[in-house]
Amino acid sequence: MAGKFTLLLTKEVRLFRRNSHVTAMFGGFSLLLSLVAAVSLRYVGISSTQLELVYVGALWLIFLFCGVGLIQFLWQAEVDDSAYRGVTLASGSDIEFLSAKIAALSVALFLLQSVTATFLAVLLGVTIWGIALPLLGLFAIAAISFASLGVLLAALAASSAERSILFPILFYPLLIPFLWALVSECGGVFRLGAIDLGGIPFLFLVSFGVLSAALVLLVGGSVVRD
Amino acid sequence: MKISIQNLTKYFGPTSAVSDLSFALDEGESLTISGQNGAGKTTLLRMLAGLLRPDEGVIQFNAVDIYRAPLASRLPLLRRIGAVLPETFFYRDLSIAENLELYAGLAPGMSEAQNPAQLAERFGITRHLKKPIRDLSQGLVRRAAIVRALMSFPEVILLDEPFAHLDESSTTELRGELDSRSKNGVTIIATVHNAESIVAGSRICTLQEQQPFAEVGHGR
Repeated sequence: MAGKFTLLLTKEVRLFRRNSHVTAMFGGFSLLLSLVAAVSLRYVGISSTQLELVYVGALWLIFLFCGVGLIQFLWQAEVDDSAYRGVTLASGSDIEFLSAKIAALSVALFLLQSVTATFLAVLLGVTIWGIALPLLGLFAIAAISFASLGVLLAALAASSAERSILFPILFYPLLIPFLWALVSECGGVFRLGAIDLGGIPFLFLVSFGVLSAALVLLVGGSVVRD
Repeated sequence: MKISIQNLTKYFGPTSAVSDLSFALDEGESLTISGQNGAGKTTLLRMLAGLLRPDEGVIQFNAVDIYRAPLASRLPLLRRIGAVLPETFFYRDLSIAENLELYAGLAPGMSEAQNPAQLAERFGITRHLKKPIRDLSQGLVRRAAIVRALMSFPEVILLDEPFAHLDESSTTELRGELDSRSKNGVTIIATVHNAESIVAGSRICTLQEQQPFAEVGHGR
């Protein structure tokens, strides 16, 4: 099982490397949006508390945009020539296939979010160094939860002829409470200097992640195959 | 592997691509299905490969229904299929070598006898192994797809127009390989639309719109 996972993860890494222009495009877009936000806000002239709120909102909007884009890109490589159908038929197990994709996407999103957070903080003049650890923890939870549910729903949509419509219909409504929880929890990190482990947003995020991962394990096979 | 197909039907909208088709094959038997474009040959192969669920009817491999049996029973059987279909199952951004390495690692029953490098040499793709699939000609991709399908030593081989896009030496190589696999008990089903492509030693059936599936001869 570990051998298959490693092989499939290697495949994901190679797909990312061969398509570095795509990751560069999302990275570049994140940085450009950060720059636009920073320049605009300097003209508006807002307080430091408002600045932190804008920072948090911008950060997670960029995350969602890049996340959706990366999922679409990763699945396009699978749908071209039905590669994923061949691989899942050959391997006889879809869990490793989905897990490798989730792992690759989670790492990519985590790195992208860490770079964007730093860049945006420098541009806006927001201090995040004292809360870097809880922020990184939040980025990790967000990346894994988002990637798990996104990959599962993309797999579900991939077997449908209407995949380009089905994926947004399934995924976007779920992102609204997810975005609320991320923004609330991130705002909390700025206020408290740590993750509020007992807070509703954090519990929602963890439940979201656990439920998504459980769904991948329980129904991932049938979703990809049937 | 024994294959049994009963009353197989597939619709695309109101049109039936395959209608009430039945046949059976024993282990090591070969079948060439001939028919015009649009007769439903490729649809039939996709259903046999486990890629397209039929609307009606049953496909059984060794008496196991490959669409209705529990995943644990049908997956081991589906993994024993080597298919060369219009879709290549390759990642276009990866090289032939990377694709073959992936499939070799995932497939069951790999051994020295099915070394992908040996097969690649025989089908003349060795010097192209490091090129991405998207940069290759149709003929080379076709040869790579044949190597992928054969290297895991499948018990069932499904071929859609097996000799299309192949040069003479690859055609000879593939004919020899199919002959040898068939003698070793591998069940082969190929679809063709001209008489020159018939697999040697196989039963020949015709599949045509609005006409019953009929056995018309035996390939030499």
